Amino acid sequence: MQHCSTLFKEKYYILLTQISDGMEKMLLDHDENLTDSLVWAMFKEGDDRSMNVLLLRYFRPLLHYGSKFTNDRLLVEDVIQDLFLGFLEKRELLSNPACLKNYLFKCLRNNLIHAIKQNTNAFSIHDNEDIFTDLENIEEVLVATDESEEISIKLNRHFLSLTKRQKEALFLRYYENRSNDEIAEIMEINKQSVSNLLLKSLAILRENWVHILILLFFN
Amino acid sequence: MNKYENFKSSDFINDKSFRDWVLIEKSKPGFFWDDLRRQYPLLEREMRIATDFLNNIAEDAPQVSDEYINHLSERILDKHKKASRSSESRGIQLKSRFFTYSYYLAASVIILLGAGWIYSIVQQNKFSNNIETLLSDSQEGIVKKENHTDKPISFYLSDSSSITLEPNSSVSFPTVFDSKNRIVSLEGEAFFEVTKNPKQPFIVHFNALAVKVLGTSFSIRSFDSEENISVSVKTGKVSVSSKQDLNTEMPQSTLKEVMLTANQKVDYKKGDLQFEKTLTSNPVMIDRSATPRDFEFTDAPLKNIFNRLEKAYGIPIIFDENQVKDCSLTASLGDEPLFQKLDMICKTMKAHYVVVDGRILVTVTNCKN
Repeated sequence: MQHCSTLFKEKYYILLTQISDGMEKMLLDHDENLTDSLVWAMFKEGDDRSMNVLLLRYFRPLLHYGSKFTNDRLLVEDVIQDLFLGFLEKRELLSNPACLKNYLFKCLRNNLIHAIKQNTNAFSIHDNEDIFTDLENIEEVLVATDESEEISIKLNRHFLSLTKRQKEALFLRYYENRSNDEIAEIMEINKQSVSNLLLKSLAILRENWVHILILLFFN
Repeated sequence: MNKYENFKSSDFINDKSFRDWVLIEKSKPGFFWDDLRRQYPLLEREMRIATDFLNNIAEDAPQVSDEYINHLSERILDKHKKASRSSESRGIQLKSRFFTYSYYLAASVIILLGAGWIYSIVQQNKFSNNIETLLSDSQEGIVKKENHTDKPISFYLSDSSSITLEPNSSVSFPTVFDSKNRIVSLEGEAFFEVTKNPKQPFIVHFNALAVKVLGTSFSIRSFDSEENISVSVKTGKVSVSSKQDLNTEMPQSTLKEVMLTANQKVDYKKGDLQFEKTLTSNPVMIDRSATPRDFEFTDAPLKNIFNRLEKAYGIPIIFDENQVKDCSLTASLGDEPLFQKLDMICKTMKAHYVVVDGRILVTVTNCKN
C-alpha cells in the first residue's frame, strides 16, 4: 500500500525511451510505482481503467475504515460506490489532493456519516462523551487467574468503553499510520483534539502496565 | 537492545516496525520482535498487551477479492455510462475530455484497415446492407469511385471536401449530401480533407467501424488481408466507433467509441473487437506558430517544458506536479522529433515516459542529481 510521505519506493522504473505496448498494462494493472497522483491525474483525464486501479488500492482500506462507523457493510459499500460515481461525474473538476488516501478517507467519512444519519439514528457516531474506562472494573479483572486471558478481557472491556471517535482515531493512527496532522485533516478536528482522543485511549495502558508489574512482583 | 529493555506497551504501540510485525506479519516468529521477546521474558507481557491492543484496533479487516473489486469497478462505470447516456442526446459527441483546445479547424486521420477474410465476409455483408440503407436516404444518386491504377487519384465532393484514393481502393458517396449527415463508405485506403461544418457531420464507414468528424482531413486504408485496423490522427479531433454504435440492437453497455486527437492512433483488432489507443510513430507539430526557438530552454521549469510540448503537439502529457516541482532544464530541442525531444529530457532529468492510452505519461524519479 502506498504511503503518502514516500511518493516513490527504491525500485525505480527503468529508463524507458521506447514505447512498449506491454508497459501500458503493467502500469495500469500492477505497478505500485505508479504514484497515486499519476493514477488520479489519468482518472481525471478520462481514463476509466485508472478507477479500477484506485479501487484495487483503496477499496479494502475504505471498507475497513467504514466499519469503524457502522456494522452495515453493504451501506459502506454503497457509499464507496456512490463516492466514485460522484468522482466520475465531475472528474474534470476534481482537485489534486496532496495525499489521495487521506482525501478518500475524508470523503468516505463525510458521505458515510451523512448516509448513516439518513438511514437510521441507531448508529450515532457523534457520541462525543469520551467515556473513560472505569478503573475499578480493571482492578476487579486483575484478580483474574490467567494472566494473558486477563489482559485480553481487560482490553476488550476497554475497547467496548471507547467512543467511536476514539476508535476511529486509534485506527487511523496505529493501523493506517496517519500522523496527528493527517488525522486532524481527515476527521476535521484540530490537532489538539486528536492528541486528546489518542491519549485518553492509551492511558489505560499505563495503568495496565503498573498493575501488571505489581502482579508480577508481588504474586 | 537496551533501548527496548524498558519498553512499555505504549512504546511498542508507537513503534511502527512493531505495529507492522503485529498487523502485517501477524506476530510471526523469526522477526526481530520475536527474538526480543525470547531474550527478555519480562517484555513478553508488555508486548502481549501491545499486540492485543493493536488487534483490537484493527478488528477484522474485511476480506475482498480482486475479482470482486474489478466487478465493482465495472458496475460503477456502467452506472455512470447509463446516467450520462440518458442525459446526453444521441449523436456526435466530439467534446474531448482530453483537450481544451476547441479551435481545431481540421484534422487528418489515417485509417488502416484489414481483416481476416472469413470474418470480413460476414461483416462485410452486414455492412454493405447497412450502407446501402444509409446512403439511400440521400436524395441524389450514389457515386462509386474506384482506383485501379497504381497511383493515388484526387477528386472533390459536393461539399468541397476532397478525397485522395489510393490504388486498389474504392469509395461510395452521394452526388449531393443530405442536410443532416455527409456519409461516405470506403474499401481500401484514402486520404480525406473535410471542410468544416458542425451542423453536418462527416461520417466514413469502413468495415465494422465508423469515423465521425466535423471538419478534418484524414486518410483511410483498408485491405482484406490485414487483421488489424488502425486510425491515426494527424491534427484535430475524430471519433471512431464500432459499427454497433450506429445500430441500436446492441445493449448500451457494449457500445464502443474512441476519441482521437492530434497525433493519436487507435488499433482495432477484429478478433477481440477492442480498441487500443496509442500515438502515431512520428507525431507532427500542430501548432503552426511554433518555431524551433520555442524549444530553446534555459533553466526552464520542467512543467513549462511539458506544457509547451503538449501545446505544440496537441498530445496530453501527464505528470505528477509534485515530482517536477523543483526540476528545471537547459536544452535545445528545436529540430528533434517529439520522441527524441522526450528522450533527451528524460536522460537529463532521470525521468522516463511511456505512452498510455494515447497520452504521454512522464515519471520523474529524481531530477536533482
